[in-house]
Amino acid sequence: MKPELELPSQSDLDIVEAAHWMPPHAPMEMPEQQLERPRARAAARSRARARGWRFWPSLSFRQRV
Amino acid sequence: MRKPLAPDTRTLVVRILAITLSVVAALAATVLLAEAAIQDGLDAWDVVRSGLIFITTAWLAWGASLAFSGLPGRAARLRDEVPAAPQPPTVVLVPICNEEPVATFARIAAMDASVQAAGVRADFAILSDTRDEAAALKERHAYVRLLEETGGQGRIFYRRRNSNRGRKAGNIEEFIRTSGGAYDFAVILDADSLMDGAAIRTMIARMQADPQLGLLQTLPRVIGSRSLFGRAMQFAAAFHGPVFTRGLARMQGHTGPFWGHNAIVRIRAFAESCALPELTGRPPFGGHILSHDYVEAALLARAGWSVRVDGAIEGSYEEGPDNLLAYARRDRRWCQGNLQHMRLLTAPGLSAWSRFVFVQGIFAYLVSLLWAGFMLASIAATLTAPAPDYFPEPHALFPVFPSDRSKEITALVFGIAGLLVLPKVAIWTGAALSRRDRGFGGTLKAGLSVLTEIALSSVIAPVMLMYQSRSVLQVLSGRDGGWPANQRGEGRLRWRDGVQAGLWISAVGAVTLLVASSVAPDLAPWLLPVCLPMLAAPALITLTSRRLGRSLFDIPEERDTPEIVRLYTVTHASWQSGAQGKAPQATPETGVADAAL
Repeated sequence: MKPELELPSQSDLDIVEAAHWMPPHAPMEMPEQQLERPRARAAARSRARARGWRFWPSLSFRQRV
Repeated sequence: MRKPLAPDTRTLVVRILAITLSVVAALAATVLLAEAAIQDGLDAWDVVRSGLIFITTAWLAWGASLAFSGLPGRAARLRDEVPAAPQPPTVVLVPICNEEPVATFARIAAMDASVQAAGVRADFAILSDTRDEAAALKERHAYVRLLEETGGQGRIFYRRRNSNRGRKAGNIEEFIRTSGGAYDFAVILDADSLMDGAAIRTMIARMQADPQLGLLQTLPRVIGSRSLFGRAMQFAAAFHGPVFTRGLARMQGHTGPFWGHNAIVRIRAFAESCALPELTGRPPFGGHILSHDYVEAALLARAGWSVRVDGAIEGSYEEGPDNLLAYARRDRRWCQGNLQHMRLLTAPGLSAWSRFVFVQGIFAYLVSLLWAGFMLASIAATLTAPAPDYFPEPHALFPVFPSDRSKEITALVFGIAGLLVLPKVAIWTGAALSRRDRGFGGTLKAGLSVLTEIALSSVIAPVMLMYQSRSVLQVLSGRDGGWPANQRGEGRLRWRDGVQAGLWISAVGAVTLLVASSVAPDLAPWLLPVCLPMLAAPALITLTSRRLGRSLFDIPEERDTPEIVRLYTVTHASWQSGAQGKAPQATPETGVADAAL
């Protein structure tokens, strides 16, 4: 059985997110990392265009549309 | 970009010893099998079997070497470390997605009280990826109550993303992109994590003391299990886990693990090295990186940061699956995530050890398929074996019987069993000598628990082998299992659930045994330890989900409930019953005090 939470008295079903709910705004750069080598990436892209990457193409339990 | 840190001499020595032990054990197993197998001549199946036994035994020996590496010495208790002033700004991140809000937010209330009692200034940020509007509304209500009862306005935050791109990793990444500049460190938790203030204080101090440390992972203790299956797992994690983790720490050195939660990260290090790209192609091998934690640890190491695990930091907890089906469901997700790492084995710049860690993760699942392959190859080898020739010399007076190789096979079976059992027995002996077993009910009770856990894990191993083999085949054939939310708190299963989930395993076991009995009767008895548990899969799944009292599998946290757990339990009960009142207060002396109910 899921436990029920009693609603706080001052809130109602139209509870709205308030500005002070949000964490402080202090942006930080996060450069995307390279995990695939460019050549492998290009080859994988062309395979992906054809039918999606698959480790073992001969073993298929379902037909892709 | 800095260079990855080189492993120190001690780490290298441990690695070399572990690799040597694994190779020697694997070679011994291969020789024993080959001697028995080639008595009737060498054929292709013998080569296949020998190759498979080499790989699978090496894997088992590798696990044993982790335990043996962790056995010597005892880690110092680290609870009293205090950060230097001024205390660096720290945030505790709680990513959630369709979680039960009362339990999740009650944990945050408990941790907030504990953190304040420990004299730590840390904000909390609840990062919601919940897509269901009704569930999100419940979260907002729970959050309002959390603020009311903790007075947490301005230090406990809640934000919900519009899209859950990148799942948990994307959720944390979004926080760092928008708010990371406000903090030096982030403690990353799961929805079911609990960490006390002293543990967080120690982690901050450790990060402060070592500027090269990018991530520090703790070993979360599993708590709250009630079923036979759950309590056995909980006991194994508490009793064996610290030794395995110490071995892991010694073996991995600076290139330690990240398990995705109950860890602290240096935000600058994480921001500069851990933004994960989407992989080309479609799932299961393309798209978002599912097992992101392993990859983030490897990327931190690639950028020259140290990643460490320390199992000696106390006060770190999580919950575990309470039945075999919940475990198998989680395992399906992990299987897909780990196999996806095949794409990353050649990622540029990774240290050799990081690549090796990926291989280990992949192998953790492939090995089930290899064991199944070994069994099938053994049946095939028996089928294709030539009939014995009792008169190899024409006109001989007496027949020549094939030499009996039962000794080699028996030695092989006992050797493999030894690799599984010996580390656990060694850990029990170590615990008895150091008196660590007192928290587990004393030497005798701990020993009984160890033996029962070995027996139980041996019985359910063939069932898990089937689930893992199915998962691997599904992933390799391109079937995406997605990353559904955990179903926490799910316990006792009905017989109908067990039969539905386990009937196919029984069928596979029955067919295997029937085929083996008819075509290779000599082999059938050797298959019984595998096939009998498979036949009993529905019963095993159902019965191991039943509640188990404290007759076995005691853990220290049950004998002496940690304050943070007690505080959470009280808060949760209070919120569940809808009782109003101030949130439980923590005191500096004890960490926490009784809740004001």
